Amino acid sequence: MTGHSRPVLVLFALFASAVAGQQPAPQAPSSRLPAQRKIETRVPFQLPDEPSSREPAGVRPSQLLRTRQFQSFNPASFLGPAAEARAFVDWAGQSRAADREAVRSAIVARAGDAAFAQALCSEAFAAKDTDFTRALVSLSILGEMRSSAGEQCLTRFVHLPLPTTGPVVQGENVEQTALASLQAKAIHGLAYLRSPAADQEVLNAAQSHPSVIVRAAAIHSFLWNHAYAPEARATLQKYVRPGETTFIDRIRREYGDTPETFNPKLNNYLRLHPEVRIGQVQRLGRSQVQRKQVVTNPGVIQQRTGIDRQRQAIQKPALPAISQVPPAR
Amino acid sequence: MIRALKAVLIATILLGAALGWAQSCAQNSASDADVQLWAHHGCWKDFFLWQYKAYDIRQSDWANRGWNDACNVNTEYAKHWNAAYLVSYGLADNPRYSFHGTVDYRATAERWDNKYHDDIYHTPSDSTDYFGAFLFHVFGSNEVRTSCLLYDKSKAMNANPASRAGDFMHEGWHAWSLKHLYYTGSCGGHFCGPKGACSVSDCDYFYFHGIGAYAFGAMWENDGTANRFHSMNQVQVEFLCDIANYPQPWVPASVILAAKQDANTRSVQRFINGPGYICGDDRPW
Repeated sequence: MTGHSRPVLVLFALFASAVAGQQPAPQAPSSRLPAQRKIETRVPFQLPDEPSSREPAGVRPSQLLRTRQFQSFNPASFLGPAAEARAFVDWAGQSRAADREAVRSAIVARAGDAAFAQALCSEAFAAKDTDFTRALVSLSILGEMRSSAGEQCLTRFVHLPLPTTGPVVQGENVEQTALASLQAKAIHGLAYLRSPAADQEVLNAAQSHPSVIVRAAAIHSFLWNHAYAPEARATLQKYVRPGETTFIDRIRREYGDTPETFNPKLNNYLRLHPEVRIGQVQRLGRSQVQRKQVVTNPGVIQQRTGIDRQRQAIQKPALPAISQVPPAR
Repeated sequence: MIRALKAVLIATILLGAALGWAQSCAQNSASDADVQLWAHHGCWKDFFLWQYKAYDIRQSDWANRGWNDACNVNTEYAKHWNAAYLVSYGLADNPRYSFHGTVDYRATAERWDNKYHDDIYHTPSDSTDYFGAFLFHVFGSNEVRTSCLLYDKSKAMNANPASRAGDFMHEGWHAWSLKHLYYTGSCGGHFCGPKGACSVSDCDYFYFHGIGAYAFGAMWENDGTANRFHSMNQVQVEFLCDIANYPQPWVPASVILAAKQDANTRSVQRFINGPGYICGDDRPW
């Protein structure tokens, strides 16, 4: 053993003990001192069996929400369109459901700002592989803007090639699904422009986009933006793939739909498409119960043992009351 | 000396790899939707101290995933209870408009033995082979497992609170089909695909029903026929659609948009007799 290797071994042992949870190496019982035995008989340190936080508890949501009123976006404090677009995406994403109309107005007010739209476009492209929700918010803003710069960006986004590699989960390429879902949102924006050129993009997507997610979005958006007019249906018929004509009749739950408005639409759809009705459901027999226990498990059925797997006798606690949330503006 | 430095470097890399292996699902970032929902409730201690009991969250499963750092939204446990918060409080619950109510969705997701399922408990998994899984156990509670794909924003679109909560419904409904002894297919509890309008390998049927067909609290009901029945993906779509269309006024826009997009994508992809309903209008914002 050389003189160099000794410190190396010491260092490695230190790191190894860190990886192993800093547990000392076991020693032979005969070599233990009485003092060590005494330490071992103590109850080992255990963390409390409930979650904890390093930060102090926050205030109740009802108090938090009471202080958080809608604040308009203030562009004056930002340097350049890129920083402003980032802040706008944060602001819009954070906005409450109750603030929807106010946010729509703020978006429309920026429709003439091409540099801002371009920066939003960059934000959407940058976020598409790192945070689906941020990309979705960016594309939604661009669509709501109804600007020519937005149109160019959304068209470019729809034409992005779908990834052919990537993790496949239950027969679904998850990267492909994520991009297609974002492209469907871009289609919503193009259809909302209601211009001949944008409509043609939407119709082309309904016919030839490789993802059914985007084709379906194109069909529904085209119909919705043309108020389900018979002419729009006739136009779509020329583009929709033969196996996908059901999408033209598909029912939508509109905001404000009640049993009186929604249920007749559903009945009409089922009358037009009796093939979507399900004949019967199948009960499990005794042998199938055994089989089901296997098929619902992707891995080996694990029989958990140990004290933390015992049924804990915890009484059902009441859900903490959030108290009254302030009403919408 | 140089050899020693090299050895330190190698040891550091090994340590990093070991720690990475021990905790491969990211605990250092969260989607915008997670962060923005979080900002609407702060870190409400009363809630997570209720949630770990209501979802039977156990220290042994969540120890290195935020169990002792429950106010850090970047960790998996914080994201889990963030989604549970959405289930508990996020719905407007208007029976004139919604498919189902909070009472139904909570009963599906929470641990307690009820009309929806026998006892369940929730665990995380580093796997990226599935989004969620329902595991039957001969002894004790059955298990609802949610994978890294629902927590790591760089891995899938589903790493947001709405989709995560939607998966609670999906796996909870597997528990429902077991309790009520229904056969729902031989591919992981689904029918094998692609088949009909379903383009993935695990497919369901959509059992269309009107608004008001189920009183709040009656989603568990079935009459042994397809007239009164739900599939796993259908319950998931209806939950996402209720969040998207009829949320509480404080629910952030990013959560609503993600819920709507997931509902519509799922509706198109996963039903043999699909597509299912379209969720809301097609206005971009």
